[in-house]
Amino acid sequence: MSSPPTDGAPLLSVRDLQVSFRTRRGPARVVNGLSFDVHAGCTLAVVGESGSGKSVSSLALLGLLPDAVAEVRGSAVFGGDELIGRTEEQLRRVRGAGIGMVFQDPMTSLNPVLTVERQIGEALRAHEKVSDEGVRSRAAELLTEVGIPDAASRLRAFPHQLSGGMRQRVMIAIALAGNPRVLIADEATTALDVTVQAQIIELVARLQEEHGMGVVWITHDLGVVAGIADHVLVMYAGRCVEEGAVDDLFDRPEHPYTRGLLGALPVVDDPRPARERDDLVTMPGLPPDPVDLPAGCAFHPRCPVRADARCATEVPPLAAVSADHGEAHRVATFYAGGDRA
Amino acid sequence: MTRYVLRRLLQSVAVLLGVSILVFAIIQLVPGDPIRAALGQQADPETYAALRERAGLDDPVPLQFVNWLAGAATGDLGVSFRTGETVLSQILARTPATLSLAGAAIVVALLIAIPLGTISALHPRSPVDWFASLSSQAGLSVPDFWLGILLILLFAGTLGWLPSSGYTPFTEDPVDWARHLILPAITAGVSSGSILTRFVRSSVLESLGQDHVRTARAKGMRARDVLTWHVLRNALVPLVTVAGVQLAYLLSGVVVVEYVFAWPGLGQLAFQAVESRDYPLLQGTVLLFAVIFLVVNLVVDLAYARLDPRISYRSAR
Repeated sequence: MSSPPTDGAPLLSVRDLQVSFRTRRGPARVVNGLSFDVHAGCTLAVVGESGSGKSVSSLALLGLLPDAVAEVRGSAVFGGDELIGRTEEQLRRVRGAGIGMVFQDPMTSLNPVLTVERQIGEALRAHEKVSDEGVRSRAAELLTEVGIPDAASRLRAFPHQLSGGMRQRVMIAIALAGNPRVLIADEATTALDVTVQAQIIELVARLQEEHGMGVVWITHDLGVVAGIADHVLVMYAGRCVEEGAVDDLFDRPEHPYTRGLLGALPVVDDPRPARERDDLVTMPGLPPDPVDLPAGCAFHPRCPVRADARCATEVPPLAAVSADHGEAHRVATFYAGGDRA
Repeated sequence: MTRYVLRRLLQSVAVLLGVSILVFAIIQLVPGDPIRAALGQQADPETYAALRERAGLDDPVPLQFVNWLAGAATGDLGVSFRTGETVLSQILARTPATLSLAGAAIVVALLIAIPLGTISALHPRSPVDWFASLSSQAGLSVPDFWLGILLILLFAGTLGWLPSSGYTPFTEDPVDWARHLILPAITAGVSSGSILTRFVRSSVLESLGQDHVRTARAKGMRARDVLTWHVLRNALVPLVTVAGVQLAYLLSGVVVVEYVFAWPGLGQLAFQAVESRDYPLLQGTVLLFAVIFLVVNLVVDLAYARLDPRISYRSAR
């Protein structure tokens, strides 16, 4: 996998995205200043535990969070237009047609009482006038494109009559219906069997190549990331704690959290002594409560290193790692245990 | 599917038999003499004895039941003690009035419940929601007869727009039929509407939180289409069951409303049968109410399968 091209404008550019939910206990700060770019033909993997804010950020971009409780700030520029603070109708035009989404559980994400044809048809009709015959033929094409055999008869099927993998292919067909330039796959393989996961990953990779889409792959599964991503962004408590080109980040993770996530994977050529590695393999504790985020680095209560007095008082800035890393490799930690200058 | 319907019908026969036995037994427990009630206190003892004999009231109770059952099985529900007409003809004579009232009342109930329940689910804890929950509470608490009298006072009395009571068959004069129907239908529909409003609210709220609604929005569908096809369409499925129960309740005679509006329906018939100890008529109307419940429930279950493709009666054996 190569680094993302730094030339050319990104399709989607998110800057300092902040999302908080009003709760009875006070505001829950779920996303706290997230920035990333999505480039055509590249895959950005957003990695983190559940509750790290990765799904919420993508829903926030498209205005899919409930207005009554969610407050979204920051900037997200897509195709030259700002998305944050836009009206429902302006966002509706972007949904599906500009940015497509595939969700986690294809069983619940599809309407159980409507046929596959109807559900794909809705996505086609949302952005242009299409005749009934037009919908049928285009829907059949889409099903064929996502690898569903016998498309014509599958169109009449209801979701419960399809297998899990098949349902997720239908979801992908729906996401493709609007010809989006960016595809966000939100834990799209999490609810599926491992063999089916591989097929879906392969399918998305093929579609990305054919359509030249930018893909945001949201997952907690680093195994998935290694195979498909160009660029990886690791999230913790609503912040990016480390990002970089996939090879760089996997080979030389800097942040104790990233190292913890990678701890389960075998590390080849680790120069550090075995004792230190063992310390980083397990991560006791839970992600912090977004209503009551710890002061300083949000990870510091769980951090096995806590190398600096500032950990508990100051939020470490996201800064470039030394020059011998890829230029896109940035990390937010006071810990300089790696080879950082 | 056919097998399923057949099995359900067979079950219904068993339920009806049980209902018949129960009603027969309860009637025996009620004090009072039906012949005495029909003839009055000063009746000639010979006439009295002859009538008792003809009605079979001197037979042992189990034999009375078997005789009645044998008749009922062939469609003969007996003869009314009071009027001497057959029970079946009396029931059939009252059916159009009850069908009109129940049908109109369920329409009123749904016209209240679906918009009000949906709007309050879309804006939970808003003033609209507050108003909806207050008015459905009021609609449930207000007694039917009181609401009926109030409506009569206002629309028949003060404003003089509508007739205060009575019934005109549709076949005679459709306009007059409708004018007579409005007030009783509102009176009977309000309490059902209040029950259904709460149900629609919770059903729509649940539907709104479903993942597939998020998918629909993410497709770029218009809010109105998402509401119609993904929220309401799915909320409709459980609503059919509850609305069906309400309809069955309205069909089996809204006694108080029929009484207030002098509406010649089945509820009034059943009420009169109790009053005059008219055993065959009472037995017949109660049996009919049981049949109505069973039929409505069967229709609801079949409608369920049409509305929700996940439900198939073919696999159920």
